[in-house]
Amino acid sequence: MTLTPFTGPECHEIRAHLDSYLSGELLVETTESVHSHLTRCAACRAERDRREALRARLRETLTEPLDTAALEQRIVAALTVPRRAWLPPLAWTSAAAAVLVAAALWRAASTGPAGPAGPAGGQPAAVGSPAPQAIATPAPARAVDLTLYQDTAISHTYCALKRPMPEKPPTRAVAAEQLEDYGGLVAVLNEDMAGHLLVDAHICPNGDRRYAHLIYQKSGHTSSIFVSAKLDGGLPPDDERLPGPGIDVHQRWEGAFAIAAVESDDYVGLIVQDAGQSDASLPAMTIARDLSAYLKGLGARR
Amino acid sequence: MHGRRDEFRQVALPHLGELVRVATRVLRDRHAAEDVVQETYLQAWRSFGTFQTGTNCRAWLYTIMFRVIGRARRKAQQVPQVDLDHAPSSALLVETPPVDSLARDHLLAAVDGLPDAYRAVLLLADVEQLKYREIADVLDVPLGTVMSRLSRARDQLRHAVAERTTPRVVSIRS
Repeated sequence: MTLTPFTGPECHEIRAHLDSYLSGELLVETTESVHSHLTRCAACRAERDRREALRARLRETLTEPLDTAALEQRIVAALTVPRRAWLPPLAWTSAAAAVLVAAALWRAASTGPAGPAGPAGGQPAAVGSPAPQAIATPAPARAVDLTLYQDTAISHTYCALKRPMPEKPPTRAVAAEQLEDYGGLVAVLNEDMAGHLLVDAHICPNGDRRYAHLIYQKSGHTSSIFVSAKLDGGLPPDDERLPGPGIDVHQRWEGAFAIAAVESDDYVGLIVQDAGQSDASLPAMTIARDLSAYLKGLGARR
Repeated sequence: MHGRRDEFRQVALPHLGELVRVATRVLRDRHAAEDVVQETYLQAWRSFGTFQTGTNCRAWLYTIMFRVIGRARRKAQQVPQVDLDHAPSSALLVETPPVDSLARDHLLAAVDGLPDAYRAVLLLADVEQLKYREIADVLDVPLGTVMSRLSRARDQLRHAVAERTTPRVVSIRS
């Protein structure tokens, strides 16, 4: 490039302000000063015109219409998932209370006071589950995280199913490192996951949630294990229950996914698999047992 | 409930195209941009209760989007390694070249070649035409930082464009 001086020192000053002048962002006095200079200086007027032209070209090039119809459809579909956050706090408290009361009443109506059962009825009581409370003397209301399952299914969809996986699966040591403060999770889980390969491990943000996320694959199926601190409360009391090995394992179908979940006072662990995965399923009950022990350990660390 | 959802769709979805556009240029990846924009809308929907009808929905969405991008970058450890805000300005002042003969791809390459922080302010100011104050709020940085980043971004863009067109008159800053 050829290096030559501008027409004068005033031009340097003016050109430093020229872009803000074009954006209408200068103080009135400075605007007047630039304007006055431009009426006298042909070189700076030409520079102003070129900068305007470059900006116009930039806008023209970068505002070309994009086809966003498919994305809009996905967003609109996702918006139909019921959310809790936009309920005002009092409404949320009422809603949670309503859910708890409804669940308690439903249980009382379907099983009587003798013992708990899942919505399907006839499910054996989970070992170690608390004794049912009489409706007349309810236990203190326990906060319930109504969007936990939906959020987890969304994270599984967009993080495990849609994103490309790393070219090289992580070693267990690398996976532990990538899970940061949840790194101990890797050591707790069995290395042999019935032939499932650990393909990714990371910390996964979803809104206010912060998941430790392990992704496994086998025979074209992808499964996830999540651990997260509780944000808004515990697992819903009206879940189906699986007879766990000395633990309370919740189960819910969320769209195309089967989610098994365990919780401690402060944490929740979830296993997400697709519905048609019976021939390539993670050993969910074993994982649930290990997850449960891990969550209790996390709670003790706090 | 449906009324609130309809209101959200009416005020927020018209900005979808420009959010995708900006995210695509900021991230230089359309697929990643769509993921970011989808997450932006989900978060916006969650916090729509705090949004005041009649205020600037577009700037509000940009604010959420750049937080999502920031988190994604931190997750991918793509944080800038150089303190751009205290980097010295270029000693060269280049005259803006005529853009008549500038190929579209060259212009896009020049924009994509800017450091992330500069590209973001340039897009918000000169393409999406947000005010400096709005950009400061969107990016959660001081107004002075926006102005200095913009100045450097525009300088660098002029240099990059000049290199792709006929060399023009340049001076050394005194």
